[in-house]
Amino acid sequence: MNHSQQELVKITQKNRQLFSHCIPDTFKETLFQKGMNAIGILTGDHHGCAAAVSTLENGNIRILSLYVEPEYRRSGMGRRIIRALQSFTEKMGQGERHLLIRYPCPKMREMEIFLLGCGFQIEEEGNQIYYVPVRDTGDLDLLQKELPIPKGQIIAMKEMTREQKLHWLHRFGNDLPEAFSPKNAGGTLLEEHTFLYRKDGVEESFVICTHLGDDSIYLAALYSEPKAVKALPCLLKAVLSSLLLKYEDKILCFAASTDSGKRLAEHLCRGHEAKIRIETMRTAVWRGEEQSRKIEYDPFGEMDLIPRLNSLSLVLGDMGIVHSVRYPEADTYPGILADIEGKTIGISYDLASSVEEERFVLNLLYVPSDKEKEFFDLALACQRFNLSSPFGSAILDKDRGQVLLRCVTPEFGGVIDRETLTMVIHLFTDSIRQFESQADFA
Amino acid sequence: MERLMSRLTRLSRELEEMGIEHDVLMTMKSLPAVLTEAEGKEIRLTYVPVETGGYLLYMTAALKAGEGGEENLVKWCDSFNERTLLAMACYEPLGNQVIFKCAVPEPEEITDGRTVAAVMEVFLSGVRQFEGKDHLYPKKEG
Repeated sequence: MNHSQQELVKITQKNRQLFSHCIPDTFKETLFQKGMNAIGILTGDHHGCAAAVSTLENGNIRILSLYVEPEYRRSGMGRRIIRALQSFTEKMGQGERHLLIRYPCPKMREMEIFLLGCGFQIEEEGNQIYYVPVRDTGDLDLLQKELPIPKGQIIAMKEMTREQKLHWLHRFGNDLPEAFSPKNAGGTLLEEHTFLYRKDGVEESFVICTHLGDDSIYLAALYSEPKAVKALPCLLKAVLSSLLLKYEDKILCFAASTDSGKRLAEHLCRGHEAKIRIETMRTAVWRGEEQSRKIEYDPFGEMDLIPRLNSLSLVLGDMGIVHSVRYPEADTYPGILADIEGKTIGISYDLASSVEEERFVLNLLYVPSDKEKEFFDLALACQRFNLSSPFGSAILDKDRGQVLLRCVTPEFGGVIDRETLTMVIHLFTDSIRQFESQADFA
Repeated sequence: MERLMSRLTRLSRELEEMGIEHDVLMTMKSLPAVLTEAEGKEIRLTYVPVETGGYLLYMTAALKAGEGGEENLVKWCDSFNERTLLAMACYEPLGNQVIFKCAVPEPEEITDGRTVAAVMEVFLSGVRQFEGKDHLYPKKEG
């Protein structure tokens, strides 16, 4: 694709058809009403490949939607649109250049991370969160910066009572990489350099660090509720300030569990590249000693789910499969993320209610590579796969324009045994290979 | 083959206990299977050995579709697959039929005999959902 031929245009009545797939249905009717603004990018052959819908609110721009076609992602399209919106506010003569975003969770978090990566920083005023462009190079150094402390508290682990620590570990422990657990790390948890963010008495996100070796300290921002992502810069600043002073001779390794986490870490640690190494590390499970985790969200009304996830995690652990467990939390679908043959496979439970007695069924889910095909090709690939594959089904998610491969196995009584799970994984990975080769995704 | 046959015999016994009439089909060309009829539709059950050990209980039924409803049938199958956990439906345009499938992995040593009953129920529920879908086809003149 030739990016030089791509053109940023205003979306009008005349060209709206070219962008119809880039604009959510919700805004299609109101797109040309007063105050609404839509811009997009056209390719050389007049194909709309990205679009944003926004509105002006008291001199600030509120982004209502931003979409880039999968095959054009990571090529600067989103940034180009954001820059255009930003320059629009400048032309309007506004002293401040604010961007606001309105996105449903969990997309909100993705959008926030994207904006941070675009060079915006978060500012909070009243109940409103703004994204303001970084103004000068001083802003780039996290440690030199005055950071607004979000509503709530940042507290060090050493200041917590034993009960609070236990609660904290149970709430977030499932996301701790195995290598970071005190048992497996071979090092100690540095409580004085481990901070968390708490709001209204509830821990929302945290940064943890563990002393791993003679020459390095690993630290990881391991968890954040989508609504608490804004607290991460403050948390990280607290950790870096305390570590850099005390451990001048050690290299800090920031272990992010996902690529987006890595990008965020790179953004936050700018200016300290020589001292901080950013890595990605697959997360694994930390099993709390106590099973009595507080349940805040239980989609099945079924308390058995947690021991079940734990048992399944044990089976996966026995099989040597690296994985992490996500227990039921508000807005979070419980399940396991497993790394199998280099692919991230989601494992979750459902209740099959169409049979006589309700029983758990185990779902394995996989989203093939996002080197996207046309919608029609995807639909055809799904149909072809579903006709020919003996195991698993391909489901086309029309809203996201992506395929979901799924296989379902009923569980009778206890959790699935190792032999059956081995079989399920073997069959499912075969199915994935079949789909990817048929659809030429690989 | 012996182990496969003993498994099929066990399946046949379970179907008998459930009061489902069936035949065991032995051919040179394919794996032995059990043929049964439920809701007036022919259902084929077979066991496929898996490389890592154990078997895949594989249940299929091909249901003839009416004329002219291809697009609606594809959509119906998509919607069925989204909301159904244990069974899957797919439109096969050449034969103008909808194929229902269900595959359940079973370990080498079966410790629980509830698989067939549970899966059969889900499967038949899918077949029942498909029946009477007259609105999927264009209305006939007159």
